[in-house]
Amino acid sequence: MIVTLSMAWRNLWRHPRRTALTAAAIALAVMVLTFFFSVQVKSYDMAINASTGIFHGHFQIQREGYLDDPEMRKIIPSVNQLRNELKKLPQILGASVRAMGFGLVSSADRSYGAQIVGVEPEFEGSVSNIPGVVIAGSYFSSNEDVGIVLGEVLARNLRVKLGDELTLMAQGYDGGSVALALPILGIFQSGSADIDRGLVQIPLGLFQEFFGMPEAGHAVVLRVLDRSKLEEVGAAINKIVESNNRQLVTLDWMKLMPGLNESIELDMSAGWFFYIALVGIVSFTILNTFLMAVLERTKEFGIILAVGARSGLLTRLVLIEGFFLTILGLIFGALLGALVVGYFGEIGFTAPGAEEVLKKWNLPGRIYPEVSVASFSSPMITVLIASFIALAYPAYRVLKLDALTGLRGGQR
Amino acid sequence: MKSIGVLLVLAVRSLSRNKIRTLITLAAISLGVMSAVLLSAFAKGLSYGMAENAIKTLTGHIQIHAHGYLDDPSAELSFSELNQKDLSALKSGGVEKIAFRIRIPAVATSERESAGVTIVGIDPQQESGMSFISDAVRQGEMIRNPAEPGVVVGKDLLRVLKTEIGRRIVIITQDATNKIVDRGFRIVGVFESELKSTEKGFIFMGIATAQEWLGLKDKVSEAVIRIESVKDSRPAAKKLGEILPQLDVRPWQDIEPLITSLTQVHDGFLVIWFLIVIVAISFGVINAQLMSIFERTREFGVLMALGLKPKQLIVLVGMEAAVILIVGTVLGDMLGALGYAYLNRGLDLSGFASASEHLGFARIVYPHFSLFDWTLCNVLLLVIGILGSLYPAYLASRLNPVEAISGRGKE
Repeated sequence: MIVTLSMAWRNLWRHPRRTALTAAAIALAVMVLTFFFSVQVKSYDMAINASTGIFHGHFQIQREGYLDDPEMRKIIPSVNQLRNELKKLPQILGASVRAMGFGLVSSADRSYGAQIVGVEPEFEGSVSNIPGVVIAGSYFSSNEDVGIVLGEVLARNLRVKLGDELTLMAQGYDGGSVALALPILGIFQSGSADIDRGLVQIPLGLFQEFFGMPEAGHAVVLRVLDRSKLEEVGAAINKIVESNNRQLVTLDWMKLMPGLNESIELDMSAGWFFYIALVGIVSFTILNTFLMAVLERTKEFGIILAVGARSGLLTRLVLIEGFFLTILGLIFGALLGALVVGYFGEIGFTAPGAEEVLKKWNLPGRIYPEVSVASFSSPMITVLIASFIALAYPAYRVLKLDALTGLRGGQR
Repeated sequence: MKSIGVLLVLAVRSLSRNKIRTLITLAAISLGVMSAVLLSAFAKGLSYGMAENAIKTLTGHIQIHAHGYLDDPSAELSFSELNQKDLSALKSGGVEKIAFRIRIPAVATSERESAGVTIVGIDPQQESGMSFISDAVRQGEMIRNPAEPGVVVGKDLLRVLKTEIGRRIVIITQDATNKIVDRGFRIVGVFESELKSTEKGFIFMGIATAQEWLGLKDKVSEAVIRIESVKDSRPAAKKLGEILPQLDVRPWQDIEPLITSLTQVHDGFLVIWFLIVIVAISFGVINAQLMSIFERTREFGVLMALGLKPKQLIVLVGMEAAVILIVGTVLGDMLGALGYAYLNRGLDLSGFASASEHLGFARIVYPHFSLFDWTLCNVLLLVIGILGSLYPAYLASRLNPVEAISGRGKE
């Protein structure tokens, strides 16, 4: 075996330029793939974190059907008890109750429709970033606060500032209309246009009183410690929820934000189209190199066979040569990839127009890719597989070679 | 140089001598070119589709508003319909079609639910050929004249409000003096649209009805314009802005910044990707050329001994690369054209319905051929590929005839 290995290694360097070029092509593919993977992995991660972190959370418990058709009547009764039970689960970082309704928000000279959200001041910060991004005034400090916190765009549209009074008008739980005037306690800027434009918050107690639904809420929002364990945490949550009330459902962020989840899937599928094309081009180069390497040595192989070697040995030799060459390319590619990723990890990766597009994903204008296991292993494995597919034909030719044909230089 | 013809014949013959290698190299080149052509067509198709969809929905090519309306779309910020003088000035400025609208945010309520919407007051005649609404009503009837009392709502809004055609909804908004007003309207028609957000977001009514209700007299919120060619939107908007300095004239690119940015990102990405693919292809071509000159060391020695100058040898090897690159590119373009013809029926992305809703693109994406991208990737490939082949050509030209003939001029 050692002999085969050293033979393979030496054979590679009989044509140093060809070997170097082929390895460079492999390295190019690995580098490019590693870089794009790193940017993708990082931006999906950031997009999910941002979108779940701003408002939606990792899980929400709701009445069945509320997500598609958010009717005021679809409440969770005795919601505090459920929240307390869920909070005890070890994987849960935060749990908070929300109640939601749609209403007309009016200032002295402007009116807009907006989502009115009742929140628990004590716990909201453990499931949402909004309490942390208040740019004027302050967030609620207790459930007894009487006031309103709203998004910065909505405040601008309503032409109001801190301390101004807003009137909320909506349909209450029993269908009658209700109205309430409240001072502005805080203005937040989450970075998500939809939320900054369309959302006002009031303390849950006030909401329950205002809409006439005491002790009830529309959702328990949960944030988990580790997003990668979503499934098992979801199962644990579901167990508690089902024992509590059979009409409730546990929804993870993929169900809460199907658009985000699918956009990621679409982006990945589109990405693979690019990657496969690139790997395909490089595979042809590998195929060319090895086919030539095999063809030009037909006579030599014939001699080796004639002196008694089995063709399996030669096939192995060719495969090992291919393996060495690929590994060489992979190593250089991974190193180059690490350099590029590291460089853009420092200065950030952006493109003209990217800022506006990334905003749609709740992302800042620059992506700082990171070196991660996934973003390095996938390109290397992909290229390795492709190179073995490319090697199959040259190896097959060697396998079928017999001593006489070989000695004659390949002609039958 | 008379020898070019001879060298070309030599180049073609030597390429066809090792058919399998030439074929593999051709395959790599054409795969790369095909992928580049198709990716450009798809990326362009996606952003053109988004732009087309937006333009056809309500955006138009150019919009005119009162200054400040875009930040604060209220009834207060409206402007008087244009007079004859302005209109004829617009016509001579390239305006093909113009529609006036009331467009303000409101809240719609049924007996059971309420939702935030935008009410759009239209003149149905002006909208035909301008926006989607003229032929989007699937149930009931479209508003026929500007003073008709009924409203047309989207299918999804009907679901949200839990109401149905023929029933009344109450619309609450602010009038021209910022007073909150509400009025009941009968739903006379239901429209459908590509995007749910459109179905959920708009309620159409006659423009005269809206003007009367909101105390706007002859005032409007926006004028939407179509010009002959969408490409000229930006310069045309600039020209119209000079005709109407008292108003805010914007091309669609300003109204839909996300689409504009996405197009920009696609364009940048395509150029980067072209370069990556081209470099990968060039490695393959250089590699093949290296092998080829290595095999032909002896032949080159003979040619040089017969008087072929090193410069001519460079031209010969360069020409081989050029021939294989050109043939590969043409093949790739042909494959790309085939793929394009196949995709021309539309790439169905309805499996990604939520994503299309989220990002605002149509469910069926039609590829769009961009002459610029095509020229860019073809020319770049030929230039970079031929430049790359100068390396093996240079190696060949350095051969010493005596050593080469004896077979000692190997790498």
